[in-house]
Amino acid sequence: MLLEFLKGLAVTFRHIFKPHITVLYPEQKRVDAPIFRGKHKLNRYADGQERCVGCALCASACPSEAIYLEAAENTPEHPVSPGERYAELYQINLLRCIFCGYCEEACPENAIVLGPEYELAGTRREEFVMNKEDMLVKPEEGFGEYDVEAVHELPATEGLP
Amino acid sequence: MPDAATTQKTSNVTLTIDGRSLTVPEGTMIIEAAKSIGIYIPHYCYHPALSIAGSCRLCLVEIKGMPKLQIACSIPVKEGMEVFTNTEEVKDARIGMMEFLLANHPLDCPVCDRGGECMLQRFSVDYGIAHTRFMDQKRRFRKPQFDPLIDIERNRCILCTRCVRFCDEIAGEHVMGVFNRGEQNYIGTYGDGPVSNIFSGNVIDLCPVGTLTSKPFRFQARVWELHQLQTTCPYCASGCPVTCWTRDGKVCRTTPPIRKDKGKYVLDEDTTEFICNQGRFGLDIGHHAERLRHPIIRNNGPDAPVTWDEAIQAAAQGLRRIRNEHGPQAVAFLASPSATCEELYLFQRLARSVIGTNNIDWRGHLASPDIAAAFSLAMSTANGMLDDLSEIECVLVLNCDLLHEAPVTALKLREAARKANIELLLLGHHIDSWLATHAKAYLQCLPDQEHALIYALDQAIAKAEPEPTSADVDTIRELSGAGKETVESLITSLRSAGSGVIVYGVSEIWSHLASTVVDDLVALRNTLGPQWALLPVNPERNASGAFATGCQSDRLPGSGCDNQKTWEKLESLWGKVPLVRAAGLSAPDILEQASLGEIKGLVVLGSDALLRHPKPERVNQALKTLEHLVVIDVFPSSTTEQAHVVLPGALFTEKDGTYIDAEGRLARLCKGDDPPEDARDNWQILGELAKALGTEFPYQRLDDVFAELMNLLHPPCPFTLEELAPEGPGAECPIRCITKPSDRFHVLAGKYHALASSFRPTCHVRFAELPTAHAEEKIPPTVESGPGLILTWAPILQGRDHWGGRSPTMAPLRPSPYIEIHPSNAKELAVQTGDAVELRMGELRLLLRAIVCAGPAPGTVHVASNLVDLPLGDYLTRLPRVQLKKVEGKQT
Repeated sequence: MLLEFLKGLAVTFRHIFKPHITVLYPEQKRVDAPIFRGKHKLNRYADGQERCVGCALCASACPSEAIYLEAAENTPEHPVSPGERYAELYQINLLRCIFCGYCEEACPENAIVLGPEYELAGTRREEFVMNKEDMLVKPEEGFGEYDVEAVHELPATEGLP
Repeated sequence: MPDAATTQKTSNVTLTIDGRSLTVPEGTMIIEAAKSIGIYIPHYCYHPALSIAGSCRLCLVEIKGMPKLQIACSIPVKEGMEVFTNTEEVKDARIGMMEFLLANHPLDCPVCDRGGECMLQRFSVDYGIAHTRFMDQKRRFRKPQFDPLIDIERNRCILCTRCVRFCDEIAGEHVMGVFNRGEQNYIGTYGDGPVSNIFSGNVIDLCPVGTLTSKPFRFQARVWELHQLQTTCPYCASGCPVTCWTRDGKVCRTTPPIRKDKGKYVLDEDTTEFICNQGRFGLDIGHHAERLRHPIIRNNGPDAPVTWDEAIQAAAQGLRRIRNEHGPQAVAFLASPSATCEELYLFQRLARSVIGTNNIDWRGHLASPDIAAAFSLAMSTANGMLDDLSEIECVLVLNCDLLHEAPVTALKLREAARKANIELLLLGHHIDSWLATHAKAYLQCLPDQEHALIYALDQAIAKAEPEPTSADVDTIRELSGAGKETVESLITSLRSAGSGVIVYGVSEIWSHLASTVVDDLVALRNTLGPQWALLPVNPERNASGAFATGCQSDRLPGSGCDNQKTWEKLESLWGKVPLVRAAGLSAPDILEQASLGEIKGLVVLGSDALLRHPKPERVNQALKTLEHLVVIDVFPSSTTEQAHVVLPGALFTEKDGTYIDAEGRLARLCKGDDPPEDARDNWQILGELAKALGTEFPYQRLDDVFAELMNLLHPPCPFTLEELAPEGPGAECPIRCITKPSDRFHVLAGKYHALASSFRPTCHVRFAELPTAHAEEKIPPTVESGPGLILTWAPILQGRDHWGGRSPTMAPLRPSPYIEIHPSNAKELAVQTGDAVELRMGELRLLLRAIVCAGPAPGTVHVASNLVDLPLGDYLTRLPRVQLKKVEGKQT
């Protein structure tokens, strides 16, 4: 009987001296995997223009219908994105989102990506509906692998009206 | 041998497609033959309604015995032909063609509005290769100024020329073309102007790629996000079925009816049902800021919104008081011809059984009881249909600017005439110059000689054995100024036609001669024989419905007021209350009696008819005199401003119901949205009003109202409301639901036959002694004497303002005030189309845009009465003369 007791304690003592797996959240935070799927980010081009063109493929790919967007046309004075179209309203309801990443898969412009942020607690339902300003990357955050200039309207071919 | 050859020509041909044998009429193209057995051959440039271009080369098929692949759209079937549509060689050829088409096509599907319903996307999935071998820079065009409604993106164009052929052939205006050569080929309009015809919106649906897209719909939504509401257009009596594509109840775009493909509803890129721009772009008014949203009671104070209970009680209390103090004849009811049949039926039941008066009418836009009588006659003799034009040989159009009153009816007639399926004849003081290009013959006359001309024609046809006498022909020539050949060919066409329809525009019947003209037409139809039918075209959407539902002082649901059986039937149906059978007042009389103070209470269901009254000041004065005015409407108007109680109702996308168009077709209106805020469905409002007045309607659902109404028609309509839309809104529904012509939904026909026997003598008595030389002496002068041109007028569809004018899309495109001038008069005045012209009428001066066309008769000019501000209400018994002067240096 004593032998069994010592066997058990041996396991305990072996683990006492191993490195800790748990972290003291929130003071300490875990380092996540590079493909971690957390809160969505909307990318920009290096000149600050939005990558999103409002094509709504993310909304149609979304299995939980968490994405709602309304598109609008760019004006030459204040272009929001390169090309004609941009997302005037882009909302993701995080209460519906299952973080599957299909929106990221569907996006033809690499505009929407799921970022590392997982601190998504809130006290009211409205807080979970994210708008564009909650998701667009701040210029000071850098653009990571997407740090490229926007391809703007190409000039018309010579000789064509 | 020749006999065998002739039989062969008209006979059918048997061939095999993909191993399946089929028999089709000779002359059918392979692509159509394949479609008839459900084999779809991919194509871009081919369209069943357009001529064959053969330019996209995607419909290549293999035909046994032919060395190379052939295009299925332009090879007619032959006896014993063996066609293969899916061999490896065919697939290879399609892959090759797709590569050519995609070489210059930009990869902007996420931005393109066509994405999701694009034929290029669809065939790229089937035949496209995933990589591109085209290494050069794709060609890029600048974006030109194009059209206020249509957006153009030339980079996406595959040059199928569908849009060009549509404008040339169907819309009848050579405005679009293909410019440049080779790689620099592009489509556009001459001078980069707009696609200026009323059907231009159809090129959006015809475009197989994203080159031509809708500007109002631009970036509103992706097509797969939209809900399809299959309904009917509320604007004119053509009664087109349409599909409203809605997002959250808001109408984003309107298209012709959609097609079911693999269980999904998609836009049919091969549809031959075209709609006009008013229907396509004018239905976006549901969420308009000006909508009436709350009931209002006006007690000489500010209009504070009140609850429905208070409003209904106030409305009922006022009516009850007037009925008790002054009798039920002091109350009157005016409906709108844009209300649904069910609403109109309930409205007349409210008047007849709850209040106890026959003072009910829908013709608030008419200025005199004579014209109202002519309307009654016109409606009760209507039995024509244009639904199956293959069974009609000849169509006579009298005085009707069909293109601007019922555009799609005009489109159908013009198509049939262009393809020589029908003989199109035009007659009257104002003909449709757009139709005239394909008319076999047309006769024009001055407005006061119209009845004389119809009478002369009637005589010439009656007496012609076998040829019309030269005296008759001369009479007609004198009246119309037409050549001998024209007159003779017109008479021959009329006489030899095995079946025909006389189409006439009711809105151009405005003078006190109105009933004479309708009399003449009925007589003419009788002379021509029973193979001819009459079709009055009323521009109002549901005028036929208002007539059929008895929403008129001299009509009961399904029959005339003289029918005792109907009275008894209604009494037993409506709870055994004895109905007052005293004749009621028509709308012009109601307004007259109201201004005299005899009518003290008025209920208005939709004020759009009243707003079109030629003398608005008379309407206002009548409404001001009323003690109690209850208005049910969707938008504020001068009528709602005078109302003591305003009840906000539902617009066409917010209610169920049915409409009947000019040809008697019953069409289902489907609900796709709720009325805004406090507004309610009209039939419920009428029910509550009846309840507050002490009689509760027994209907649980709208279907009950519909069933009761349909049972009153002769013969009863065999459908229920659900059957008209079997799967409910947003699903498949046979919107154009009519029974076969033989057992047609025929409320109007019974009346017609009753009238035909007694009517003809009356008509002849009036004109029997009409020698052409003295015609003027017998007929009161209807035209002002003196120099100048005679002014005629009629409203046009785009000039409507109560509903259509509020559309943010269509309002800016309302045509500027114009005046149509005959080329011969234009030459005298040295005026060309586009010149500014000053019109002088008494003291009045008005600047108008001249349109030189064959529409008005020589010596007359024509204006669209709802675009100009002329005191036309003063000219109800005689037509004015106007002086025109070209204004130099001004182009409008």
